[in-house]
Amino acid sequence: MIDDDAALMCRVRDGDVAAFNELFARWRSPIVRFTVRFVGHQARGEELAQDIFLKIYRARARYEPREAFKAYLFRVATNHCLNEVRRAEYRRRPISVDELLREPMDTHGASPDALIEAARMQRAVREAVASLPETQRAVLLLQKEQGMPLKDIADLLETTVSAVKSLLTRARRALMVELAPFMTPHAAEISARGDLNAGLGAVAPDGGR
Amino acid sequence: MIKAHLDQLLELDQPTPSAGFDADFKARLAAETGDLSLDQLDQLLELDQPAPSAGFDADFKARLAATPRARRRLAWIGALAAAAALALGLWWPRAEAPRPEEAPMLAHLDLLEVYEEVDLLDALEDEDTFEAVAQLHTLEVTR
Repeated sequence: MIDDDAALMCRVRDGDVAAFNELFARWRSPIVRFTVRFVGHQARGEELAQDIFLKIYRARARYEPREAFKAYLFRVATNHCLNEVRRAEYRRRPISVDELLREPMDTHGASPDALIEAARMQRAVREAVASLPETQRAVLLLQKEQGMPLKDIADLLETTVSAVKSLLTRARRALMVELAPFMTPHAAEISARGDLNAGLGAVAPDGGR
Repeated sequence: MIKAHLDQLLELDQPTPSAGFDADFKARLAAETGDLSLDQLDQLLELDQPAPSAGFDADFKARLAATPRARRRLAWIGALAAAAALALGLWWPRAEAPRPEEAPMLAHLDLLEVYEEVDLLDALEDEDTFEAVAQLHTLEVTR
């Protein structure tokens, strides 16, 4: 039994370009979110996301729906991102607040000061994730971002479920230590509601970098 | 046999987390990280939700469109190279193939190989010498 996306991919394999456009439209946002957070940089993350879709398109003739399409897609994405960060010449680029302010963002009509504060907080989160060891980062993003089951992540990374649990625990602990200064309990409550204007007032004053 | 039995015994021991495991872990984590809970961490992580920029789709479509063009270019180069190889293949054997009038010479190629030695000899003036030269190919050449 193959899922909708796998069926679409089979049509791509058989030469249906419209099916590929449909898959691209469905998965472009999750893949960009994954790659940008993996490398910690918007422009490079977008290039990697495009590489991933191109890879899939170029390899369409060899596609076999042996697993859910999402698992296939994120296997390609994870391997591509791991290859990127393992390259000898790879250097993590510093994230600037200006750069974050240029990214697409739902601002809810927030004031300029509030946007800058939001960008600072976003930078802290992105830097914290991007500074995790690569396998911890992969596990965290696949589990938290994509809601992928631990078993699927273990298969994807060719490891055991207990190893994935261990990586996830270590990643979360490292993030909690790193990000604790940035949030008060009240701010957490506000950010849970997604109320940017109200939430930014609760950012700990010493939290920005 | 003993190993298989031991493996079976080891299989019997499958510890599972006790009732207080999760609470204990959270307490230890809280001691390390202050008041930030796992839920709060998840909420914090959601603050960074990168999305494709305005030019993302157009850039991708340009790259996608460039792929078949590049392949077509490569296909043309490949076809030209194949045509050149075919033309060379057709011409080369003809250039090398012996013409009919060359057949007798080729049949006595072994004699031509000692042409230089034969060339050093004086002109054949008598019948005995002519006979000796005619039998030259039967002699063992020593250098």
